[in-house]
Amino acid sequence: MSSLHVNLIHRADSGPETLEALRFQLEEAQRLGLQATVLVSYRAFFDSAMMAYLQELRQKRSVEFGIHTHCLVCPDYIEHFKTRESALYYLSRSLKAAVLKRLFELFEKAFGFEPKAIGAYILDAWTQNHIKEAHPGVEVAITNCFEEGVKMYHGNDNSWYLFSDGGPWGPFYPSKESSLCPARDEAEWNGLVALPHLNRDMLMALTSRDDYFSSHPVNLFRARINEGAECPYAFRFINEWNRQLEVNGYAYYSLFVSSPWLADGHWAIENVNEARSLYSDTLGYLRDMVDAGEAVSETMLDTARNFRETKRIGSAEQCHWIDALRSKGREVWWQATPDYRAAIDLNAGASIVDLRPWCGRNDLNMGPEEPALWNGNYPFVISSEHRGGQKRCSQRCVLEVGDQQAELVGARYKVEVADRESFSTDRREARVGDATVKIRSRFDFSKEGCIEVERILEDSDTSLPVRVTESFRGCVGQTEYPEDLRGIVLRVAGADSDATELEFNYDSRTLERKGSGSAQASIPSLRASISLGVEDSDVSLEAREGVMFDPFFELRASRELKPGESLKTCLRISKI
Amino acid sequence: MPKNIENLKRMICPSCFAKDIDPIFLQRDRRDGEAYCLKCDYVASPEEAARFLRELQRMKYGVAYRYEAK
Repeated sequence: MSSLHVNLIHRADSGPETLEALRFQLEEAQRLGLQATVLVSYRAFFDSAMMAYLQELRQKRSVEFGIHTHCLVCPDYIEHFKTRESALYYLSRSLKAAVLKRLFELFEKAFGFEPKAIGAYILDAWTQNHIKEAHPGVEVAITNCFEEGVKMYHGNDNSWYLFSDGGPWGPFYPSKESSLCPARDEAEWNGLVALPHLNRDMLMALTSRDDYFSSHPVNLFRARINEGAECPYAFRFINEWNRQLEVNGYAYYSLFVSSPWLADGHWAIENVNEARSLYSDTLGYLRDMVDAGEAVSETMLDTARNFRETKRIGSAEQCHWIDALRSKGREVWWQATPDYRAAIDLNAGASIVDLRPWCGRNDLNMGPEEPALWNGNYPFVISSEHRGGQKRCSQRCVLEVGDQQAELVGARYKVEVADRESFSTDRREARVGDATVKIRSRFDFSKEGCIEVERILEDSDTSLPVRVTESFRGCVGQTEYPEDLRGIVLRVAGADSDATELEFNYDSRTLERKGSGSAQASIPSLRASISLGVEDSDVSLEAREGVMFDPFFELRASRELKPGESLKTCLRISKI
Repeated sequence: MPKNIENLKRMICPSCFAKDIDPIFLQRDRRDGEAYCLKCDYVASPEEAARFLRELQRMKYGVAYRYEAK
């Protein structure tokens, strides 16, 4: 169905305030005729008033029930498992399995059936595989929080231990090997449909905190973006997700406010009545969209089953986001395939500003016995946000006329034409010394594991040649701190066998070659190779080694262009 | 907590807000009425803090915001 797929998800916790808030939420859903999901937490099973209310709902068959893995800690949990660890994802494998077993037993005893939907902030690959093996009836799970990691950690006064940067933003088929990587095919798929915890503002995900700017109306109060109960951004945000239907052919919206956010006394909310008013208005807006045929209200299970009918395993996802917060037209393009996730900032000269080489399927299992321990962030090779901005860490275009140089990063592009495999920008002017050049960019994602970037010189007002360079400045990282780049092998190679290479040792060396070929970086720690290739006899290729104060590798392809000519590069992200 | 300090429940620190840090509620020194932040070094009169926060919200999000100091 070609409509926005809407989930309205709730978490049942414990305590009279949260029960009252949950009643409010579900009565609003019922009043508006929206499908509702209630994910029951461990603590809720030991709150008799909460369970009595949930049984009422069960008898009315008015909501979908499932399990949520947050809010574990209560006397029964401590007695059974001898731990105060509040995050399921940080338990050992044996404890994860034992806690899940108990949760399923409690659920089945209370409701008489096995749940098909499960919720979490993060479910690592081992846990997802275990769920599918031990509880094969589960079909759908909330598995990750899009771009919740480093910036949220800082914003929460370095106290919120939830690291899941670098994953998909929408529903996907998770791979068995790595929880944030979509499966390539049926054999790689773990059998669950993964849903994100909330939709996020896809621009603020790059530049700010996307927990503030998300499909969680009450978090907008935490961001101080409201005026009393008014917050027009909340509705522009929904519209922007609805627009993704045109871009991606599929769009999903998950409104999930756990009840403490709507209970009196929540630490981030000054006036609970205003928060409830905005919550109700948001539900009303979604109801209007359903009535207009623009959205369809579903349970989590409905969404999973529709997703399986609509999207094939291994297909790509696109998101073209136009600033909904300030409404000033800034654009960003996100592309996700089983091999990589890329973000392209149109506002910064159509540069790739974030790149995760998913093809490596890095182990993100967490817990005391796992190598990753606490860090579930998928590693990046580009992150402008964590590595000094678009000029220091990105794939971008550099222009030279004579001895003058300019960055295309200064050009504020917009998408002019797009389909599901490519987009072209509008034409922008760039000043290079005294010269003005007009240049357009085109991105093509149709080849598996490749991003083709074409910089088209449309015009210039100088008789001097214009040298256009495509530069990939990358590194390895999961946080804002630099990581060890030793072990990376840089190489330049042509179609012939005369490749030259060096092992990264912060020595500021450069490899060069003329003519068709590629500049490559092989990154063993990520099990991934990055290659910037060009089919062009006039091109110059370089691979540059960085230094400790500038810890990057740089892959460059450049040539002189006349108006009407272009430089076309192919960035290949592949497994080693 | 010392007796001369009361919690300014409704007023958040503009300096922390500017840095995308979760709402940090300003403290108030009863002796001179100054509002101050426990996390950072921000100190101002409540009126100045409210005015500054309002302007920061306008700058960050392009919106005005009612914020009454209490």
